[in-house]
Amino acid sequence: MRTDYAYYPGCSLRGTGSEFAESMEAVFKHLGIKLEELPDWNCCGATSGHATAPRAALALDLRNLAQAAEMNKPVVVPCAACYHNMRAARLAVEKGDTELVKDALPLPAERLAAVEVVHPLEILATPETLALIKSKVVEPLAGFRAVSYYGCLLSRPAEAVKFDDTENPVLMDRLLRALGAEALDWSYKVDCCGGNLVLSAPSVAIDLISKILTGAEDAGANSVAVACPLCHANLDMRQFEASRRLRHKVEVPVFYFSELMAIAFDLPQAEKWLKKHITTPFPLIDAIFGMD
Amino acid sequence: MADFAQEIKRLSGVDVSKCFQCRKCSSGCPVVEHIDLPPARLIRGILAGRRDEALDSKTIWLCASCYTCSARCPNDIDFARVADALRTIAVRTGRAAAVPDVATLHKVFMDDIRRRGRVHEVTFISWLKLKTLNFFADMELGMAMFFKGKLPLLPKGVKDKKAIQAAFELEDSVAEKK
Repeated sequence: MRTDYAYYPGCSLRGTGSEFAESMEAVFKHLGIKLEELPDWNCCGATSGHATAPRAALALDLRNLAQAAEMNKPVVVPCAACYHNMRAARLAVEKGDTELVKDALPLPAERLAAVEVVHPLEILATPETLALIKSKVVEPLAGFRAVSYYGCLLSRPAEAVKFDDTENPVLMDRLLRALGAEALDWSYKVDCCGGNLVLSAPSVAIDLISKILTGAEDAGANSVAVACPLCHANLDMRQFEASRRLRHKVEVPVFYFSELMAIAFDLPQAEKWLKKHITTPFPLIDAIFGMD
Repeated sequence: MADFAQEIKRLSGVDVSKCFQCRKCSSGCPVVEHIDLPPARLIRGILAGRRDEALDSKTIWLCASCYTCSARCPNDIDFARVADALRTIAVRTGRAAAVPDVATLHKVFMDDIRRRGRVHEVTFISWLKLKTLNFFADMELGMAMFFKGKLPLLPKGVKDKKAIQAAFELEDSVAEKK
């Protein structure tokens, strides 16, 4: 098993998604896997980059990719949008499709194309790592009936991201089962949460968020596991508005998969991260583990 | 192929003439009930050379870039990239957007990257509120996030500012002067 990786956190993980970053870093450390941050990374451009400024976006992504290439290690990218963009940039180099930046690459094409861009779930959900994870579980998550929500950018488009199955990914489900949780099947794994439309066309985004939360309820879930800071923001912070739209109260805690790992490993910092959630997960946790 | 379809192909690498109107893209589109032109109809319009119809549509702004259409197209037409190309043409030519707040968000987001190479969410959202004159939306949520420690107040930027500038110069070199 590989134990050292380059690491690209991205802007959200250093801001509103700080609990994702901190829990990710802590569980990797707990598993003995080293993460070394890119020395001077920049924003990946998110959606706005490729949507309105494709030349700047590709140049920004190539700059990150080049830093990973210099480190000669695969790079771990936890944010789904960053992961998607970095993989797309790598593919553009591989296909020689870099006319947008006038073919001015920060490093020779073969070095850039050789960078392995991986999502943490692709490392964690291999049989080998799952066995290690099982051996570290001290508080099995029995009582967590969770649905895995992968969102859009982890699995689409398949040509660029090559993550698991496009319509029915299972890596997060495998991880949840290794932690002792029940991973429920449901139909909204890869549906869209609206992304940044929540800020610019909120009623459209609330519509999408409401459908996903209803799907979780219908599946009988008491928790949702996510792998993307924007998915977390939308599902965790908008339950009040979704409840109003749906005309009944929706209250289902949303966890980063790495937070669930931290709970199962009984890492003491977990409480600090969970306190940052807008939909409080503590009633569920207390009900499952008792008030200790 | 119409000139407009050629232009889209040059920008996005996508050949929309392969579309045979099966409408799988429109059926799977998560925002289809909110847009004026479903993806398949928009493609039909591009092939017929209806440039204004496409560039003035709400579709190009409400498309969430979820790539469901792209993933499911039997002819491998990456419609999400077509939407990227249409938005890019609209921005470069200074055309008024059918959903102005969405276009403003993209502009404010890119300006924040231009400033320091990384996005600082507090700065970005403050600018967004200022530019859309929408000061009161999400006030309570913002306060809750602040008190829960989700909003670091001090922005951090990249050290090599020149590299960021160079990336944006590439972009500015193709924008039409107004």
